[in-house]
Amino acid sequence: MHCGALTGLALLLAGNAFADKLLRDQVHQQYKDRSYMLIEDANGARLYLFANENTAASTLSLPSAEKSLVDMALDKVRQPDARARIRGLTELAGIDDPAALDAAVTLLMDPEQKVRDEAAILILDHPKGADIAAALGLIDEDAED
Amino acid sequence: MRTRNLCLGAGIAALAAGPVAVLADDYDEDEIPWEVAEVFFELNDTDGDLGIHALVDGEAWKRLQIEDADERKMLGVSVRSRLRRQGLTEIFFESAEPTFDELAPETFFMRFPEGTYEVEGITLEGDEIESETEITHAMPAPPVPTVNDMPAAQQCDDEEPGFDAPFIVADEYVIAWDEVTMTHPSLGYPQNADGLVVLNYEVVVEAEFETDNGEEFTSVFSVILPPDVTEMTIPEEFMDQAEEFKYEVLVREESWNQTAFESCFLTEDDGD
Repeated sequence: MHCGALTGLALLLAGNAFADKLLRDQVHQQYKDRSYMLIEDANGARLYLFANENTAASTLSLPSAEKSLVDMALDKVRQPDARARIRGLTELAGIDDPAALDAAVTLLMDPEQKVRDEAAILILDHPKGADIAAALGLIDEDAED
Repeated sequence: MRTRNLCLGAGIAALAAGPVAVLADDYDEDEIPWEVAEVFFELNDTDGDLGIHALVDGEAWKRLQIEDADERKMLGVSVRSRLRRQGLTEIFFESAEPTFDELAPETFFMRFPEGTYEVEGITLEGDEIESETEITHAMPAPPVPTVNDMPAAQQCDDEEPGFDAPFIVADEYVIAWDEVTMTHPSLGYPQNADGLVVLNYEVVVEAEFETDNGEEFTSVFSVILPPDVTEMTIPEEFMDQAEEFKYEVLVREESWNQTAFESCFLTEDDGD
């Protein structure tokens, strides 16, 4: 079977399939000479490489590009440079991931005011941040009157 | 520059205000200028209305604020969620433009006093972007255009008395105007003053017509011209699209204040 057809079938079958073009492009670049099936879901992706004359079949677990971006942002919020921490928090804005919320709560105690401000915005912006924002008394000055 | 846009509750404030606290202004000295930060007025001399506009462009930002000459915030934009991750670069706005019956020019100019306005922003890394722009009440006099030497129509609504759109048949259509060198004769300050420095002229021509599948379409030809150019030939391909045209000639002075004059012409007699 052609790998393109398999990929299409996999996307149809995957209940939580989401667009991760970057990952698909990367897989295609690396395995364009192999037959493969890529299954994507909210937890990442699994790549099934079919056997050929030289190589046995194998399975790889791949983080999605979206997941990779979250991981990279989380790396930034742990950096000693305040600008990097702010950038990391900015890149987590609106992402429905508990790790983003955890990072923001932690950085509410950051020594830099600007980092604390960005952490507060992230909590206020997080889909599940309302309860924490209320408990901590965070006020969104940008909220509509 | 104030960068805080949130009030932390008492509990968090107490947690944050430890001995390791560092002043938020520590890296203010590294402010980055905007590539473009202009706040200016536009006068539609034909309809009789004024508005305030702004164009800001620069490094990717997540927060923007404009302060007036009294350092009072008059615009705040906070980018949120997925758009915050991406950041914005350019933003342009136009205010409402009530007619002079509703808002007299004097009242409008009192609302937006002359002076230095500050355009401030925060980059995705938390750095400050800041530029100052001078607001003046000097409005250019309106351009006085012609089309193929025919005076501009004063009334372009054919349902109103005095409809005077000229009917012009020619091989080419040239919109021309005299160089604008003075401020407006009756609006802003100073009035009727010479020495106006023109930044550029802008010509916009609109043609409304029906496409082959019966849908209304507005085709727009727009060009910005240097201050020493005072005429523009409208491309033949554009003119071939319709028989009724609206046009605008706008003059923009050095602080970006601009005055527009609108008119119209026909290229085929509708037989009325």
